[in-house]
Amino acid sequence: MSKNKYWVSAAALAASSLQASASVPLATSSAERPALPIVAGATGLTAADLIVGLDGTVAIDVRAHATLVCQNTNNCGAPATNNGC
Amino acid sequence: MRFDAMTPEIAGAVTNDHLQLIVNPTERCNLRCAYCYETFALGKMPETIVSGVFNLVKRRAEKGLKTFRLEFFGGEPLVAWDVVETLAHGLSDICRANGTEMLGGMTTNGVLLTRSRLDRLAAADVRSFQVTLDGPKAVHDRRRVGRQGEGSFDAVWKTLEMLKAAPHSLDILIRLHFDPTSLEHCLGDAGFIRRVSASFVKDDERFRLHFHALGRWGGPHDDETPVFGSPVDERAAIEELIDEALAAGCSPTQFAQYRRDAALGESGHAICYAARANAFVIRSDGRVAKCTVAFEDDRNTVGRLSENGDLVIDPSRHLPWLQGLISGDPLALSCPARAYLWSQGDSSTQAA
Repeated sequence: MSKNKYWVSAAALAASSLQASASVPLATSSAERPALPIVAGATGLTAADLIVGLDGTVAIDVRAHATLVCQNTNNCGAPATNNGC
Repeated sequence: MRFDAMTPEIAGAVTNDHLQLIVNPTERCNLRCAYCYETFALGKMPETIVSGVFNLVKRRAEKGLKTFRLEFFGGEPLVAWDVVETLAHGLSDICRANGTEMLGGMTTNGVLLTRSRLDRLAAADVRSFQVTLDGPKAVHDRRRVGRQGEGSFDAVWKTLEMLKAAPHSLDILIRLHFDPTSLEHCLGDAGFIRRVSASFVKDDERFRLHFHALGRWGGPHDDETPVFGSPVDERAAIEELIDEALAAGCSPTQFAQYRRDAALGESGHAICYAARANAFVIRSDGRVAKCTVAFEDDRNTVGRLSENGDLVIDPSRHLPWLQGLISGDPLALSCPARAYLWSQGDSSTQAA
């Protein structure tokens, strides 16, 4: 798979307002997930990063992706962790 | 297919604004179609699972779910009418109370769909129905038969006439099965396409046509099912059927497959529900699956719905179905079962 495909896919995920799930255990409720939109263009995502919570919501598990960065209100670019910026 | 052209479609397949549940109220059926792949082993959905569906949708609707697509499947869903009625009205009430748009539909053989049931369903926002015909009566009644071998054509035709006469806003998809031996009965001035078009589809945008070649879908009579020699032959036959229906006065908008472009995959869908991260099949015993064709394949079971509405998904089982969302592979998006389940050792099984 090319980086381009990753890029487009990540953009699509961002466009869908997915919430990033940083260091959140699988199968927790969406309410417990931090709201960290994934930056379009992030590389390294795989299908294994798509997780589904107990309420059926889809999230990106970014625990293994230090390269993903936060795009909170300031677009600060900080690493995407559950602490946000 | 250009991957970037799929971006909006992929976004729609992962967004949390949308949830699709394909619910099997029962997996029993009143018909025994010659090519059917189901085993009819599971009976009516118990109240605990019905409660689980309610609780799951309620939880999401209360958190701002924008659209909820409910599809009744089976088995024949209307065999468990009480479950269908309970779910349809309960879910419709939940969605209305929370500002969620509910889009309800049903895949039914049509035999048990009465006017009073249609009225009840339409009142609960279940307005889409897929009904299958296998061709003219002589062909249909050899294949879509009851438990004693009796034909179902007359009952299905009567149901289509009932739908045609109903005043409701509906979306009726007539799925017309064909194969190399039945194609001749469909074409020509006296052919079946002309009859279906004139009776239901022409000048009524509530009706659409979908042509689907018979396949070997994993049932016990696969060896006896006539199939086309190649996808190219199958596609050519579909083009003939579409041309016939257009000549009969149907509108191009009444075909999901009209001049299929590069954005649509082999199944006729850009992204099958089984490849979507926000779509699940709720089987009548509470197991959660992805594909409605491969119920007997253990890899199709990805989780379980509990009575309190928890959707417990095993990621190691779920993720193989989602590969297309990352890779952009057209096959993995349009028919993940073919890409995942049937890519090794079972090339004869075809998307249903």
